[in-house]
Amino acid sequence: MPFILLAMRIFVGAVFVYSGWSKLISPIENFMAVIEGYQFIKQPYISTVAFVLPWLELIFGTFLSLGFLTRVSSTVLSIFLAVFITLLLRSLMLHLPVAECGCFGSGIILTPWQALFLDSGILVVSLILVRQRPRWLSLDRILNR
Amino acid sequence: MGARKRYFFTAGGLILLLIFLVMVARYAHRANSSSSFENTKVKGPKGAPIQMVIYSDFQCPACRGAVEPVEELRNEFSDVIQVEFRHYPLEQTHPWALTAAGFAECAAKQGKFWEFHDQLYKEQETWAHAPEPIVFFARYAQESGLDPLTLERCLEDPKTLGQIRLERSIGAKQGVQSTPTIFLNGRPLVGPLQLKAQGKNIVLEELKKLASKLRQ
Repeated sequence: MPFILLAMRIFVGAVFVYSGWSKLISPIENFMAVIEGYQFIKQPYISTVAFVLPWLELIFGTFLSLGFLTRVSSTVLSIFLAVFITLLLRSLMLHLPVAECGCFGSGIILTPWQALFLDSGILVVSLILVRQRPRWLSLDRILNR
Repeated sequence: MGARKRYFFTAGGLILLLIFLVMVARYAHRANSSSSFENTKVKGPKGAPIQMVIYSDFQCPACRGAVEPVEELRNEFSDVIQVEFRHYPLEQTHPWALTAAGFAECAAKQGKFWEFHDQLYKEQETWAHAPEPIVFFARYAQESGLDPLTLERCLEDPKTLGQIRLERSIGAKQGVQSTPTIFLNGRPLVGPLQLKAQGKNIVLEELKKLASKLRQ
């Protein structure tokens, strides 16, 4: 069981590290265009979200991977996932012309349906992690000694 | 040191490390992304102070949506903007984009790129949903006055595909992820909405910068 939880923690953390990283090393205008495609906010909020969100993904993804502030990180990332799923469902219901979800930059191309399926699975895993106390190979355990 | 302080310093240290890593990666990315090559798909005055480089996919509806705002900007600032087209076919989502790019590249070799480009975007709705778009491409080539034998040889020449792939890889190094991506003197704009909202302001800013440099 501890090994499975460790694998889950690293998996969810790594997904968000990759997601945040791929957005941060490319021009911000790419992610701004993705947000524009979902048609749920306007400027100047688009620029703010495009700037802030990738940093939060990278930071909390790293924290979760390292088992640092595990419950806080998995709670924050679960909230992100819930919001992403809501936006994906909305885009599908409204038939918005979102060809690919824009989740991982150009590294991984996912259609909205594929992203919905993936995000739902990761949300389940992330919610399990919210309820876990610090275990082995985690910074939380080291810092709480 | 209390637990709270340990957490505070650990969080601070990790965040600073991540900021540093991102800055290094961005710097390395920018250092590797500059490149130039011979491209005949240009229009506008040579040596113009505003260089507009467009990475585009002929099967992309958003790219079609950018054609008009590009032309409006070019018409408004015709003396100072040079437009350069570079291929960026998104083959995973647009199965005929590469073929269209091939025909357009061959039209460029016969000096008819822009006519062919305009035709492809104007008729995109027709050919993009057709079972055999090649039929349409051949017709547009004929209507543009392209020599059919030269066109055929060009389409079969591996250098044609090589040129398209080169332009795409340069775009990828510059951070292009979707189309259309337009660079105005190196400043990126993604999609027709950003172009319409910010294109003119960027052109005016660049002209102001140039004017103040000339005054010095």
